[in-house]
Amino acid sequence: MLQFRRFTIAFSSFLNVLLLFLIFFEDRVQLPVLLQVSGRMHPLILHFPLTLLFTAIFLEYLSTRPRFRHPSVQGITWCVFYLFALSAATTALFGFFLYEEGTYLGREVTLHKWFGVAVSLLSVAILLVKSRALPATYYVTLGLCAGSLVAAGHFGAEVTHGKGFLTEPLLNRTRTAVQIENADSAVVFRDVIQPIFNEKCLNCHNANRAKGDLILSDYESMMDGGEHRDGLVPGKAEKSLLYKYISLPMEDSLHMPPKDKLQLDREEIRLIGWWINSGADPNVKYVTLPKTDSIQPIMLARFHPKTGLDLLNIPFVDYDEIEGLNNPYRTVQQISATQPYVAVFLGSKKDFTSKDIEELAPVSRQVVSIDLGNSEVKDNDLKNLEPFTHLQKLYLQNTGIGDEGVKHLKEFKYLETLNLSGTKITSQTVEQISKWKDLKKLYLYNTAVPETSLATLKGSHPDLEIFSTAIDLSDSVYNAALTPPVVKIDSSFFRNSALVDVKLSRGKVKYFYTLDGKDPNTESMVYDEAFRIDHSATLRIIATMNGWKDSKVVEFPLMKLGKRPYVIKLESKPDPKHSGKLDSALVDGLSGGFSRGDKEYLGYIDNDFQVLLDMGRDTELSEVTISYLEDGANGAFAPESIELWTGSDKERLSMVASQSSALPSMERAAGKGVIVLKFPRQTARYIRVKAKRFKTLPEWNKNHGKGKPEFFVDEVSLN
Amino acid sequence: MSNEFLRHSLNINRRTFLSSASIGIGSLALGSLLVPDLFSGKSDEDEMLPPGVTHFAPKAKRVIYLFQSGAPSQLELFDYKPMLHKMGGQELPPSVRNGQRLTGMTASQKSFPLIPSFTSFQQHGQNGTWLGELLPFTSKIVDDICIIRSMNTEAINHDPAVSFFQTGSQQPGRPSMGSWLSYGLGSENKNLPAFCVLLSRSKGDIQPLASRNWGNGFLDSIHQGVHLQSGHDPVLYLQNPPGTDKASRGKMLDHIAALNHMQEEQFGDPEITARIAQYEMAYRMQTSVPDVMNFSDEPESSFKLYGADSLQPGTFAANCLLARRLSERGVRFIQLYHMGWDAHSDLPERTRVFTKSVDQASAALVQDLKNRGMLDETLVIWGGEFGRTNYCQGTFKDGNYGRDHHPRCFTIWMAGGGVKPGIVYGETDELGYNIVKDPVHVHDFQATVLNLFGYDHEKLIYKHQGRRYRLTDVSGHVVKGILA
Repeated sequence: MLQFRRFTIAFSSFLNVLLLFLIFFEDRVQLPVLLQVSGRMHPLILHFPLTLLFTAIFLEYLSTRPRFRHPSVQGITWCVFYLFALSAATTALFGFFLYEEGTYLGREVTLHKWFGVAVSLLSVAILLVKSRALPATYYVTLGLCAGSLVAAGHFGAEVTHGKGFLTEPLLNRTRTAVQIENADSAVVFRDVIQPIFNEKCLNCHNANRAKGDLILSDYESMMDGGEHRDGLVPGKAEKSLLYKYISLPMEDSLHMPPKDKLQLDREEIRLIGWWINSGADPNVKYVTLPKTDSIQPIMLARFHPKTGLDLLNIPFVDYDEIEGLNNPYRTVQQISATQPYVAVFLGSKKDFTSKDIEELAPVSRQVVSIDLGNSEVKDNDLKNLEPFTHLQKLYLQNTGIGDEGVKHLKEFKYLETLNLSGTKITSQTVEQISKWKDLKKLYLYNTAVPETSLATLKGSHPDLEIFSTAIDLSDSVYNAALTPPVVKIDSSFFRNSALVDVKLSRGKVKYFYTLDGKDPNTESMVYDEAFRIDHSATLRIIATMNGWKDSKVVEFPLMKLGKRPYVIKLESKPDPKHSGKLDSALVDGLSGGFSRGDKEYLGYIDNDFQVLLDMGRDTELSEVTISYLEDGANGAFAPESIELWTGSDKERLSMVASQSSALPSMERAAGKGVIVLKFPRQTARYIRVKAKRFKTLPEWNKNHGKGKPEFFVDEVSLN
Repeated sequence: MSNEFLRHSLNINRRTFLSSASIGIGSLALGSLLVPDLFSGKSDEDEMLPPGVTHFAPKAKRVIYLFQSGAPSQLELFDYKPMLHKMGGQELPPSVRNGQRLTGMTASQKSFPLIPSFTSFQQHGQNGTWLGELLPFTSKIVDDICIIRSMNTEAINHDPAVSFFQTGSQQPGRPSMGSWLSYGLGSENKNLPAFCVLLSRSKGDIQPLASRNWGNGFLDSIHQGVHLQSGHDPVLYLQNPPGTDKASRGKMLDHIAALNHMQEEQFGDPEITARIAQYEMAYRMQTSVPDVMNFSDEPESSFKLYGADSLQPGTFAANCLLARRLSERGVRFIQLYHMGWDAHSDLPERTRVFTKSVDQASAALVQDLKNRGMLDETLVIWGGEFGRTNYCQGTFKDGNYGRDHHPRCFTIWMAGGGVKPGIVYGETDELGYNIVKDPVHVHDFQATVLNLFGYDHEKLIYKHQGRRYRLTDVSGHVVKGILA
């Protein structure tokens, strides 16, 4: 223990002497690289003396309590003091090494240095006076040491974190943009360039901590240009190191600001480059810049000038008071947290009364926007708008407001937007508005204002934007055909009747339909409400409207299911792959889908279709309906011809009806079809249906010349 | 949430306190535990602004989001790549793909031949913006829109990608963008939902869309998107049942509200408050919804502008027109979905049909809003959930091909609402695979939209299950380059 004590005192004294020596010859010291590294460890090891001293003081206090008055506590206290002395001297020495690098300058650094030295010296003094001198001397030394340590720590923190770091939250200072009353008085350097440096560079390049000797806190130091003196070369951004470094790619080790720091954005880099190139003049004013310069808008966006209403400093209204003005038909909201302005929405309000506006009196100074669009506001109600002198936007679109109403609107000094589209105003109103000077946007779409008075208004107000575009209908695309009708049919195979329900269009669209297979036109039957069909037919329907092209015809095959045959005999065999339910598929009342793979179909690919239906006994019949699939892309079509043979003796049937059809001239989407064969009412027991397929595929089919048309049938119905 | 607890604890008056004295002390202690900020003077809610009050002055008031579900191909419509014509049929260089994961649909493909677009491109507008020939109407409004060619997302399949766009998370359960804005801004017209959803689709096999994409997540259910149907009954179960008149329905609702208030005083469950508000709104919607849906006051010129489809309820064009009507009446967020763009095969035909059904109406909407003076304050967004690959899915045959999902780059456009008009933002490489300039991540996009509404996306938060949630999750930067 004694040995350790001696060693400590000797070694710390040595370090302190070395420290004093170095400080004395500060200007002649040349640091080897290795010591620079140890210098940079200063911020790390400085925490040791700090903690150790206060631990020692705490132990010293403990040992005065009766419970802890024990030699071991005193031993520990001594030990901590030894470590403190060692670490304090080391820290001070390392601190000096860091200081020697020269990146830290200024008053705070000097103060930090001397307080640090004081701590180091006092740490040895404590060891010397602790057991020998009077307790008073000891306590004074201890107190001085602790005081110096706190002071050194405080100034050290100001060096690294910036001045006032500690008290910042208390003083509640927030960085605010320079308030410029007017963009005209803005100085480019003071109001744009310097704030960029302040925000993103000053942490390392300030008077206290000039890394690379570069100080960016004011114009003069900036022009000194740092250690190479060429940080800023007026007129030559590409030669200025500052601009070079900030415009290097992120990956480059020389890129500034360093990777983990807040980066400059593209616009800021551009602004700095532009400013250097333009001569780096500290006094050039924004207004003197050429207006066409592309830098203009970027710069303007960086000013926060107070203009218009902001100059009035209107007070905020309490949120609760605003909330109290809200009801289901009126929304009153403060627009943003940063400004006191209030927007009112009274749109779509029915039964408009003058109270709706009058009640807003408590916020009359704050209201900048009132929306009365689509409401039942009347001309007289506009009289109540008078107190709202700060209105910037007034929406009256699609209301019954006419010239009389607008007369009640006096000139609002701040009014920028007036929406009168869809109102009943005429050229009279335009005449009145032409006296208002500050209006910026005027909406007159869908009004009866003639072009001539608009032209006059434009002439007297070149800056006023007028929106009145009537849609140009001459464009050919507007003559596009109507959308085909959307029809819902509850069941395309039905026993009694099917309900046809068309989803009605908006506007004046009319629907016409036929049931006899002919193309519908405006002479055909009119659809006005859902109706029922009680017989087999093909419903063909179109949508028409004056001034528009008719829609495409939409077809819906409808089949009334009838009497069931006793025996069904397929006299020709369907393709084995498409013979799902065999004969029963024809009379099961189930409709197949739009795909050949559906099991409801019997597919005839190589053979023609022929079936013999036996009713069991003579039955009265007058109609036979056949339902089939048309899927032209895959080769399924209606048959070329179909024949119906009936009779009471199956060996001697006679043909009662036949029908032939044509191939569609172009490809159509897959769909279903029905063939209705009518014949004079008669009694018969046997019915034979023969359907002949087409011989060749139409030209538009991809297998034209190779494959053959097919016939897919899913149902035969007898009535 | 603690607000509701606070309100509830205020509801306990002396009488109820004394009558339940046995648990009174305990609940008092519990109450102070649950509302720790009661005496601290500062709380999260201090930073929370009342509905409608934004962090800074907003530029946009309303959104119409034309979501192209299924992902349209940027290479056919917006992103002109002449290099693909030169290199058509050649392999996608592995250095370009750089090991990016592919969907299960093309991952097993042995070859990735580059495929040029079947459409031709022309320059339009003052800046000579290249647009595909299938967009004749959008070409006309190109000076009013801002085209972002450098969108990119993290998701690779439809549902997660749509969720990511709408809620900021690929996993379901977060509130939709519209819900967030409804939560932040409140509704302007209290007789209509602040967040409306309109669906349109084409025939055939279509990727489904889950209704949670317009769900409120953990926000109050009042912020949920309301789906307006195209049929006879736009909002299901809104009209009175046959035989019930408006007066007696109103009386019934008053009594239900009284009962609900009693429950709310007792339990303080915010869902009860939400339910009361919804009943009241539904009652008012019985008149306001038919008013929006009654198109008889719409001039024929509107239908001509939006195209013939706009006459037929349920089509994309009709929904665009309806969106304008809703927006006119103060609905904050109108979300359209047009479903079915997913062209893994038959891309040319599908793209032709779909583009035809959306091009005119989308352009008409922008033009119409502009005419009516609404474009300044209405943000229109057009785009899908990701892009499509520059290589062929399957084999190229008879001019027919497909493209797989491509999250690395795609195009959307925005118009109005404080977005810079007439510009193109971002750039992709010559092959249209990677972004080379100004990438815009989905979270960046969301941050930008919130910014247009005056919100700092890092501050519009909701505390739920011990975590503060935001639309942009933990990332996102405002894209300053597209702000006017």
